[in-house]
Amino acid sequence: MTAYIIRRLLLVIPVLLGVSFIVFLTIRFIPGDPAEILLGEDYTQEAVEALRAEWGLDKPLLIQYGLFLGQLLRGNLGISIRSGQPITRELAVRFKNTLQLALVAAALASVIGIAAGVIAGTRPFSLMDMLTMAGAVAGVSIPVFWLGLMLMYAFAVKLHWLPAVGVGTVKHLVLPGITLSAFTMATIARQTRSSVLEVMEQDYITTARSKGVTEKNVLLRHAIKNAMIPIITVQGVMIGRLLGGSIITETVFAYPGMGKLLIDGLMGRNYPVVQGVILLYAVTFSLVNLVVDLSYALFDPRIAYD
Amino acid sequence: MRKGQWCVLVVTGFVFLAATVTGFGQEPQYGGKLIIGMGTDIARWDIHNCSGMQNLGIQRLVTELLTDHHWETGELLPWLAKSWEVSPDATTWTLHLEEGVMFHDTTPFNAEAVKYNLERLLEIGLARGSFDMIESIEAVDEYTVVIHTAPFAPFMHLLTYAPSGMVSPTQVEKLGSDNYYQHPVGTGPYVFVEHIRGDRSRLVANEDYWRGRPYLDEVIAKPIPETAARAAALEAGDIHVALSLPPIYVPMLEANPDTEILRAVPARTCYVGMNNQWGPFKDKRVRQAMNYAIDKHAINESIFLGEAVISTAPMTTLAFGSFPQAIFEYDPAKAKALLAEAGYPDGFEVTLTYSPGRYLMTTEVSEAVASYLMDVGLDVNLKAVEWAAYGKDRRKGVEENPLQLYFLAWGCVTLDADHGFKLYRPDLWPPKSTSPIFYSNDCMLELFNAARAVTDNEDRLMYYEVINKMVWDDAPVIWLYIQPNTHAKREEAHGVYVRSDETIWLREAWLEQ
Amino acid sequence: MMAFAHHRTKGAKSTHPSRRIWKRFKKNRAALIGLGLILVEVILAIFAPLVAPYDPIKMDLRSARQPPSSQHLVGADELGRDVLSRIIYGCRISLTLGLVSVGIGLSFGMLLGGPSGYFGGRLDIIAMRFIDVLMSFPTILLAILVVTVVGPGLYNAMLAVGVAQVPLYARLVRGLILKLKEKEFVDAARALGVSNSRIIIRHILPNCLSPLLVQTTLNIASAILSAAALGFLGLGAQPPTPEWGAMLSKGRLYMRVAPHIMTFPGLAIMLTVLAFNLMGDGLRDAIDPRMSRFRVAKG
Repeated sequence: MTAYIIRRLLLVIPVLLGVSFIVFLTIRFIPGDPAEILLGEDYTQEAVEALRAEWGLDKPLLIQYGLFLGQLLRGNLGISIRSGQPITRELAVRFKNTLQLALVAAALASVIGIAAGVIAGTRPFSLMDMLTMAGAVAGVSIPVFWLGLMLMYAFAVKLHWLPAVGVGTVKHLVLPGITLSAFTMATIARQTRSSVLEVMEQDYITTARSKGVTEKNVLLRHAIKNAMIPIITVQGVMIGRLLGGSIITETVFAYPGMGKLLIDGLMGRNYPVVQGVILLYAVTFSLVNLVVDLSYALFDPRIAYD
Repeated sequence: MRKGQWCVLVVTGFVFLAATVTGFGQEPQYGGKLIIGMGTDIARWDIHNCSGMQNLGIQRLVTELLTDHHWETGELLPWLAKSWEVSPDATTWTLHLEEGVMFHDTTPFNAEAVKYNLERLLEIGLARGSFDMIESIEAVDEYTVVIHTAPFAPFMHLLTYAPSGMVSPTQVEKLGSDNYYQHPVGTGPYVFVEHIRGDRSRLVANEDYWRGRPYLDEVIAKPIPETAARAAALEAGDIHVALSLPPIYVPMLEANPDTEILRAVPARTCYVGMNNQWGPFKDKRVRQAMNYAIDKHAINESIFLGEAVISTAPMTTLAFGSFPQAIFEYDPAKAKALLAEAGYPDGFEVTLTYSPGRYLMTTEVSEAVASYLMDVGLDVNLKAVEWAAYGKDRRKGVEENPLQLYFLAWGCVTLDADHGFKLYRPDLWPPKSTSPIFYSNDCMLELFNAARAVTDNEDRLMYYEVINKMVWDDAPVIWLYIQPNTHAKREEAHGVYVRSDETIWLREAWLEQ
Repeated sequence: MMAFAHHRTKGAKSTHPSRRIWKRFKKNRAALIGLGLILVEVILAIFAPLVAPYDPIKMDLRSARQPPSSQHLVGADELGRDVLSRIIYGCRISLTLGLVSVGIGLSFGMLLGGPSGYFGGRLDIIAMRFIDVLMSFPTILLAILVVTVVGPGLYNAMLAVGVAQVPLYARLVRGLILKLKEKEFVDAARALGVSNSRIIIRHILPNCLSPLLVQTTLNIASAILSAAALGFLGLGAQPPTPEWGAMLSKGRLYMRVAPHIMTFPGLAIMLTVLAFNLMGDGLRDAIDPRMSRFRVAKG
């Protein structure tokens, strides 16, 4: 077991290296002079010289990458063109906001998704089931930005129940949270349903039933518990996915998170910011995957028999 | 009581009631937090280094200028400079400053401070090109400044242009010029507290303001780039003032009893510039054809709901020295004929560059213009560029400049023709400016310089009349319209006015509690 | 026992796998709806000039923002262009986007995952690490990365979404090949001395087809979503091209005064994606009936 954990941990390192290399290459391949790209409009000769020294802009690519890595490890992500502030500061605030949003969406998706899946799975082919599954397939087909806009129109613009944009209160998390959770909620609902159905067919369920256990207890004690295991291990990946999905949702609701920072940076040709955000996304995603893999291994031995 | 006395009592009661209800004799109240929704965030809280008129309006709550324009009449007002004299040749300006004014950090405002500021402006200010006539500044005594300039009659008007704001020299020295924007200090009615980028700027009342404490306790300026969101926030009451709203929201906000539209006289001329040194645009007939090809009235009616003003002169007619001309009425047949005459019967290929979101309805207008030009046979490529990249391209010299047709706007902020013609000046081609019209006309330049040297305003007008006609006829750009200056506020916000230069005048603002 | 042994008895009902699949598919009403929708869109895309009432890029300022009426069935956009015509022409763009990007993803995914799965060893390890790296980026982020370098535009968006699909396909193909590699018929073929390439082409690939088909159908759905997202962000097709995501983005400004501009393109995206999802689900159920007991039996 520990060998597996260590091996898995070590595997993260080449992946993170690869991620940083790809981000590095992306910025270097943008057409134009790298100093201009990283400094924006107003730059003085001194700033250019300083940048060249720091990131080694005229040296061969691999050496540049080395310097880049060195700066990264020192926690230096560069200066935002627009604000002149170090990017790490901005990133920290935005990361917190995005995390909040992702967690809210994760909670919504899990609770409603699992509930819906269980309801559908325990009453297969009933009306509830058909409706829930229809809703689920619609949920994975609906474009996130359209859903967000429709919700905004209905609840913020027409009914004035919730704020349309911004951050600060719980109310600001509702519409973006629902929007972001939709796809994942639908996926979880479908998976839960399959899982529940599969479990319900198992022998130990039939055994429990024949022993006279009430349907409710059958559900609660055996079926759901076992159906949950694959679902729970998916939670981690889900958070990673939600982080990525937040890019669009934040743009729609002008929610000041990482996703919005990325898009603003892209539109404003603020490449140091773009670089920093993408790195943070990828690193977070990798680490989340790592945690999921490790926890799955931890759960695995216990799954076997119950 | 007798009937008569009852009547008097009742009538008085009604009058009193009516007065209270209608606000007759409504007194400004102290206190409250005014929240303003802007289109873009304040890029830098450094008035010497900031552009974007909306933002300058907010910045001017903290940093003040030597002179000002009245928000409604446009009349030149003394401000930090309480009076002045000018030499007959318009080269020596003696300004007398208000006494006893202090910056928010208790540094005294005096002649030394003015000298410091103007020198900083000339050294690193983004708009220093507009002030290049200043030759030297002397602090003669504590409250008297003498400024020597090249002959330039409208100098005091130029000092109403926000980049010449007065900041605390102590603060600049303390933070360093490059970092000054992190905590600006001025003499204005509100004191800067913080700026959380992308979220808000927060100002609080200056208790010791030299003109008396302002009414509001706090002012918050939030960037809400999405116009739909901005309008929604205003309706919901999340903000009290919404700046720069497209006219499509006007009917809705006017119908709403809680909101009110603020209209200021439009002053920003929107046009499609032509690189006069590129291919077909070297020919005046082609340039005129381009003007005939566009239906400006339709654009105004449909896209701006009639709130824009069709351009009738190279700059806003509000400006001193502007003379209206006969517009190029929509006539695609004439356009095609002119093109054929110039040797382009089948049109030609051209790229129309624009920067989305920069001005009101930029994308829609650019697409509309492209469509009209395609109707007369041109092959138009629409190219959206980001503002900074656009600025870089615009600054390139005539040899490397890639721009052919481009959508841009120009605000004649000093309301004086001298500033208004800056665009067309044949001696200010990029890289000396960001206006790649590359207009070439020696006669115009001579007349322009002559006008500058003249101090008598009537004489200046004579020159400007001729120049206006000359430039209009040459059609160096496709003139479109003057952008509507529509903003909105909630009923409970009073004393909020918007000026023709799109800045917001909030010094007398107060909130009904 | 050969994996896909089947007997053809004269006179008996044909039991060829694809026939069986089609029969099961036909019973699935939802899947049929999906297929029908797709066919409708393909027809609209091909015959757009005949079907669309107006020229999609012809401006008519006087009709700007007109709500749905007899003149404009679904309304007019901010420049007076007919929204319905733009949606119809948009079918072309969206379907092309879906097909091309999935094509790119599939080809490069196969190139990456195929040899890696089949030959294993060092090649596999390196390829897997590379795929892991790519999968560390959320899909939309990969697409945005590509657009950052190549710039916005319709064809660039196709490339970007295609590249974003590569890791998915690579993993899928590799997984399939790994599974199939173990099957006895491959060992048998090898024992007989059949060359690697022949094994791949004659035995492995055909058995990949079904799962790949299902996955591809579903991937077209997500490719169309990703491409529309890029369009919405302004990173895809540029005006005046009638791409659905971009139309939605423009419609946003007019949400208060002309919500139809934003509503209908979004509906179009959703219906298209739904169609491919339904068809993909249907194919999956039809091909692998073991699972179908646990799905809603429609029909």
